[in-house]
Amino acid sequence: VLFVIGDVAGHGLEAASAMGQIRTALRVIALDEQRPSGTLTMIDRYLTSEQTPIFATMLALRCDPGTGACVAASAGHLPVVAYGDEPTINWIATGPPLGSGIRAKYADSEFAIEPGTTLFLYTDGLVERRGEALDEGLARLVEVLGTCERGSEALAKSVVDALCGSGPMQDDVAVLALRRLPIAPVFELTVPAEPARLGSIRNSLRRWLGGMEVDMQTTDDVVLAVGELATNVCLHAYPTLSTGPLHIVGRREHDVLAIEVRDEGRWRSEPSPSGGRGLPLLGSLGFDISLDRSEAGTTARLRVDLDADRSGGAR
Amino acid sequence: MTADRRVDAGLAAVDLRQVDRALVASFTGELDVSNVKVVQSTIISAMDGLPWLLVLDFTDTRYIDSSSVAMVVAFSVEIATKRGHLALIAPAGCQAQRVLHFSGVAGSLDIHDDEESALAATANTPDRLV
Repeated sequence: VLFVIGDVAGHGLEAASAMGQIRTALRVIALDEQRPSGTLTMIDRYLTSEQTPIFATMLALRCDPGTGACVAASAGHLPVVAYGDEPTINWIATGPPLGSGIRAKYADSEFAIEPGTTLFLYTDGLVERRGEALDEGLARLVEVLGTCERGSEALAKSVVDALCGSGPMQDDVAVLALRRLPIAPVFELTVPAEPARLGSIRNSLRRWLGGMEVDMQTTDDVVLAVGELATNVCLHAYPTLSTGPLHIVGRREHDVLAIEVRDEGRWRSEPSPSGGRGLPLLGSLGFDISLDRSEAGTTARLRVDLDADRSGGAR
Repeated sequence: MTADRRVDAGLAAVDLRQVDRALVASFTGELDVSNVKVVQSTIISAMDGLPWLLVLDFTDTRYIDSSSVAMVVAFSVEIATKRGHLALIAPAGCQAQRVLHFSGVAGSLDIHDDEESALAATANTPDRLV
C-alpha cells in the first residue's frame, strides 16, 4: 500500500489547485512505479515541466501490512515518527523539494515496523513555530505523542489538539497516522466459492503468513497449495451456475501450520482447466494433506512442518 | 502482430513483443483459473501469422498454478507438432520455476534464466521448420 503526504508552498486557491494536479499525477505514476523514490522523481519532472512553478515537499511510503516492510523516500519533507514502544524520529534520506528545477534524484530508505506500531506522517504546520528551531518542534511532537495512547484511532486528533490548540492556526496542518494491526493468531476466511475470489484469498493468506513469520519460499508453497485446494472448491463443489461458501481456517502452533479448506457441497467430477494437474502438484509439495468427503461437504487439511527441508531439488 | 502491446487479464498483464522471429510474452501479476484462458487466447491471437517460436517469460510473475502449467504444456504440445520452439524464462528461485519443477514438467521443457538465452534457443530453430 502506498501512502503519500505532501505540502505545497503557498496558500489559497492556487496552492489547492496545485495539490490537485499533484494528486492526479501521483495516481497515474503509482500505477506502474513501485519505488517511492521513482514516484517522487517522476512528480518532480512533471512539476518542473509546468510553466507556472509549483514547489512542494512530499514523503512517499510503501508498506506491506503483512510483513511490516516499508520503503520510503522524501522530497524535503519532515521525517516520519514511528511509535512502537516509544515515539522515535525515523530520519530517512531526503532530497530537495519537488519542482526545484534541478532534476533531483531521490533515494529509497528501507525499514520495518512491528505489529502494533503507528507511523505518524505530518506537514510542517504541526511542528514549526516562528522564531523556534525545527528540532524543538520535533521534540515537542515526540513528547506529545508519548502521552497519547498509540493504538487510539483518535491519535491524530489528539496530537493536533495538543500541538495547535483551539485558536487560529499559523499554517495549514495535515496528519496521517498509520497503525499496523497485530496479526490474528488464527486465519479465518469465508467467501463465495468463485474463481474471481482466488486472488484476494491468496493476498489475505500471504499477509497472515507474513505475520506468522513464515519464510517467503514456504509462504509461496503454502499459498500455492491453498490456492489449488480453493480452486478445486470453486470448480467442483457446487453445481454449475451456482455457488456456495468456501471456508479457510489456518493456525500456527509452534513450528506447524494447520490449514483447513472446506466447502458445503458435493464433489462433482467436472473437467478441470488444469487437466488434472492440481492434486499431483499438491502431492509433490511435501506437505501432509488429507481429504475428507462427506454429505456435509469436503474438508482438505494441510499440515506444514516449518522445520522440514522441502527444497525438493528445485533449481 | 504489428506492435508491442500490453493486454490486461484480470490479476495479470501480458506484454507481447516480437523479437526477431520470436514472440515474447511476459507476464506480470498472477495467473490462475480466473484468467489463464484469456491469457492463452491472447497469445494464440498474437501468434497469428508468425513463426511458431514462442518465449514465455515468468520472471516477474508473482503466482502461477496448475492451470498455468496446463497452458504451458498445451503450448508445448501444439508448437512441437508445428516443429517450432517454445522457450520459457523462469530464473531459479522464482515461484513459477518451483511450480514447473513440482509439476514434473520442467524436465521436458526448455527453461532459461534470462531472455538472451531463451531467444538464442529459438533462433537456433531452422527457418524451414517454421
